[in-house]
Amino acid sequence: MKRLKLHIVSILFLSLLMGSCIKDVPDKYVPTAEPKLVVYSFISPSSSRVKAAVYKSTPILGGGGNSMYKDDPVVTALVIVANSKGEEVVLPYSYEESCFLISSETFPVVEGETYTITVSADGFKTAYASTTVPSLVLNAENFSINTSASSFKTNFSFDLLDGDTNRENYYRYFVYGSADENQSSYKQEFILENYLEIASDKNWENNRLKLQFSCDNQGFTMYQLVLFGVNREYFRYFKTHSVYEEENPFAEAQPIYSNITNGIGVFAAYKEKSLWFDAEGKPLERASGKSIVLY
Amino acid sequence: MRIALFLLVYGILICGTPLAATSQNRYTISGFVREDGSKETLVGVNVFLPSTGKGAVTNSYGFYSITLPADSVEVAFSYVGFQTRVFKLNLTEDIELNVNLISSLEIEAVEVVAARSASSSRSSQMSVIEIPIKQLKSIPTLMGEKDALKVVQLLPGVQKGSEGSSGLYVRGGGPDQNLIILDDATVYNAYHLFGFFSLFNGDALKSIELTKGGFPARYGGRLSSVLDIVMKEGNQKELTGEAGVGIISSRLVLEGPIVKDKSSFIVSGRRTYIDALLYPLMPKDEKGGYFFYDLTAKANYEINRNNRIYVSSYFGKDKFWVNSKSSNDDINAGMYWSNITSTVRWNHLFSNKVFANTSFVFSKYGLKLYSDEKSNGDNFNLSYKSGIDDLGGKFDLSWHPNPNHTIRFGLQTVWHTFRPSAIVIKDDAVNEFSRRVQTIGSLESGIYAEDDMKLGSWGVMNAGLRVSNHSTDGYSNFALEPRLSSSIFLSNTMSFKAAYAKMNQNIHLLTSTGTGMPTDLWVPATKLAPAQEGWQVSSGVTKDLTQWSSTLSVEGYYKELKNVITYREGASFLMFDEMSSAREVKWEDNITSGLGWSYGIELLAQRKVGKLSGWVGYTLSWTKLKFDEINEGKSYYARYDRRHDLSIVAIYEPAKDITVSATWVYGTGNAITMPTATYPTVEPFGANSSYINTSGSASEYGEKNSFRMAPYHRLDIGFQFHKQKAKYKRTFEVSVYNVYNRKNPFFYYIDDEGDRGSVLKQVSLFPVLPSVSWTITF
Repeated sequence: MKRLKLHIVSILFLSLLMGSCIKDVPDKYVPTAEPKLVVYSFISPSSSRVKAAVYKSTPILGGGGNSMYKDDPVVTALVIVANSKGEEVVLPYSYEESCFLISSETFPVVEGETYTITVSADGFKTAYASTTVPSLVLNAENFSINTSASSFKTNFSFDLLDGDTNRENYYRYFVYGSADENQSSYKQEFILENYLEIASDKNWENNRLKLQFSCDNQGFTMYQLVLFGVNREYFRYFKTHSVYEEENPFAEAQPIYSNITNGIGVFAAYKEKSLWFDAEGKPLERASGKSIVLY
Repeated sequence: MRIALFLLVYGILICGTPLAATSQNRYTISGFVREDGSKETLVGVNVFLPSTGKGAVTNSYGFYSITLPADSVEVAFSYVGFQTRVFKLNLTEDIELNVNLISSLEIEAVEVVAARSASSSRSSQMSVIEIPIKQLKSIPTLMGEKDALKVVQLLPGVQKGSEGSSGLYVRGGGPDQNLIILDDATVYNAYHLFGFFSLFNGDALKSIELTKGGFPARYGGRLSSVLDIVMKEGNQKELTGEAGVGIISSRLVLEGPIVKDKSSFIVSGRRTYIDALLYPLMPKDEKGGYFFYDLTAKANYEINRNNRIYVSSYFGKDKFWVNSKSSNDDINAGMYWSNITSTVRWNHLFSNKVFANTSFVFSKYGLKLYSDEKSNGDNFNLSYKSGIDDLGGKFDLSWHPNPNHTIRFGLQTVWHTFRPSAIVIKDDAVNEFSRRVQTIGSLESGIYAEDDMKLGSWGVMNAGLRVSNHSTDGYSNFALEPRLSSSIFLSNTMSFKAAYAKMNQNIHLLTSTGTGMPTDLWVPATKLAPAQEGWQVSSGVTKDLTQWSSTLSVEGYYKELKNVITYREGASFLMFDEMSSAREVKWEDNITSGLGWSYGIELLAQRKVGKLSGWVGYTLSWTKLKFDEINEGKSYYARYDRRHDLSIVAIYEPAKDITVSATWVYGTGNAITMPTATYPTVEPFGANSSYINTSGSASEYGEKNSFRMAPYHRLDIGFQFHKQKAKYKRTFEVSVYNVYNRKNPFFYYIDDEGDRGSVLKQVSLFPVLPSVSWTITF
């Protein structure tokens, strides 16, 4: 397929560029841009910390612009997170984790609450955004673990059941297999077949979505299903970012979603829960709200 | 029921009008108007009574009919570029009057009585422009290739896409919204070489008429324009022809009688030969090339005065290919696309007042991408196909009860077979075979009635209704489309015109570029992608400058479009990502529906005859689109939104043996989306991860199509030197495309140039390009 693409594209461009010429676009037609603050923050009641990463954008054109991006954090930024009651907190910068963060005990994140993030720094317009923490009314059933279909693969399937049919909800999901009861040494993520690991419940049949994962057979003794209830900002950023990363030359351009006013990035929220199963698909007794560590 | 009742009452009124008015006997003058010599029928000839101004116009087959009270009358026949003929008749019975008009090339301009021939102000139709074939052949074009669509692009209200493209954007509509008809058959992809040339080179064409608004009810199925192209019928008297040699192609036209004065034929062909010239220069193991060709053929037979049969056909093909051989590998890859249309038509005169045409139409467009590779004994084969086939019938009837009414009625039905995506993959290496084929059928039908009526001495009006229906796979769309256009006479040479038209379009074109690429896919309207709807109002003033044989017009329009489709952000036309999976994606998952609207003002000053002819056309317009899933749901300018568009076309004939022509065009730059900044992105993992990891970078684009490319302008000139030899006429043409070497933008890209940082670069396609061609007419 790659060869075919190469051939066709080569022919087209050779033909089109016969007799063509290339020159700099006159300055008056060159688009210019000011650097903006780039803000990423995904907050959750399930999380022990409230975190935000702040970077800056690099203008591509005009005055020595460059298309090479810089990922140095803007450590001097002032990052404030506030809830709808007017309570706010300044997130200090952590050089250890290269981001701004504070413990959730100091500033708890609550389901259904709307939060605003405001980021300011010298030389930039103040960037801000709001997001509302979603609820997670989602169940999973009909777990099926099949290790016999192939000597190399473990297949895992289950149905997601939407518990909130009054509005459009968004969900993210993963499956991990582990040979270690304590998950301390090794675990492997299953790959979802043919779908993104995120979905809107808009077109689910009978409020149900069947998912199938597969993974190399590693002799797993337990499995972890991680469910995220994510809000619209999270969903849109995730989808557009995933498509952007594909870099399909025949595809339409895909801008990445942003909800940061005067800036770029996303301020989004989610709620998380995990379910565990043994090698036969029977639920294991574990605290369903326990957070997992994602690598 | 109400409609049927209305039609019944209306019919009675129409028929009753002459009876009620007078008991005087009425008689009909009818017949065909033809060109003297070749006997080619003439379309749009004005047949009128100079004393009263009443009259008729010949239809697409040269037929006219006019019914008058018994009297001594004077009837004039006038047509642009032909000498007017006037007949004095004593009307005491029905008269069959077939008229031959003589070309007026020898005279300065048409006679005074022929002033009516330029009477655009007297027609009820507005937003209609006829392109004289003679002018088409004189206008300088890219590489000397005479191209009907390139000439249409020079008219006000019509924008071109990018440099060199033949794509038409009429009053803000996309190229899919143009109904391009060749002898009643729909042409789905009217372009060669990715849009640089059109299928229509002018040699075998009789007439081209563009309707941009105020559509009569007989036209349907598209939202933005109708380009009605009629092929010549062939010389009934003698064998004649034309042969031409140009820089990139050669062409030949032959026409002549099959049975003298009864039957004739015309065949024409054109082929490019760059591939043949370059082939010997390529290395033995690395070959490749491109060519296109087209063939048209038409024959007709007059069974008797009341019956005539036409058979016409078009076949055209483009092909790119590469062939690479090495000791281990053999690769054969490429793409080709082709159009085929065939039409069989039967003209029948039920009486000297009732003319009917029945057509059977076949049209086929197909694209194929292929790659056959052999590598170390393993075979890999891939083919990707898409296309559309049409099979249909059409019946049109026109009835001329009296000079105040011309009533048309018709019905049409077409069975479409869409093949939006068909992929076949074979791979020996991993022993895979995948096949994905989607074929969709749909039935599209329409029925219409319209009346072209005269409103006493103060105006004319065309009122009509079209009823259309489309059904496919559980989805159907039934639509009523009222049409109205009128002209109020402000003076003998000036009129105020207004029109309203509602249109429906039951097929979509999936296009990423909008330039008429062969990879664009035709698909039917479905439940998830409903039929496109549109309405348009237009009004303006038309003034005939009789002493100059010229017309001035000013028109304003407003148009709204609904259910317009476009690819979703991130979607791909190939509809699968990786060969290994070839997972089929439904085309409906790749698109999103939205709204569009366009408004503007158009000015046209046109002179079709005389030593100096041509036109000046200017358009001031705005075109916007709005899709919920694109640009955050905010409206944005269409890529081909053109604030200013100016075309000046001049053809000057200082002597019989010289024609000098020039065109100058100016257009606002295309609206495009440009990256303005880069920034780091992150994977949206949970807040408990140790870091918020940057996963790469992305470009910031700002709002869609918020950036304007540099404006486009260009001057072309051409010189034709004609010489009459003993047995043929020779024309030697020298033309220069882009005389002052304007570097018009084709596309932009960003280049990193070390110390200079990132620099925006412009790629221009065609510098100053001289070309020569040599044509003989015999």
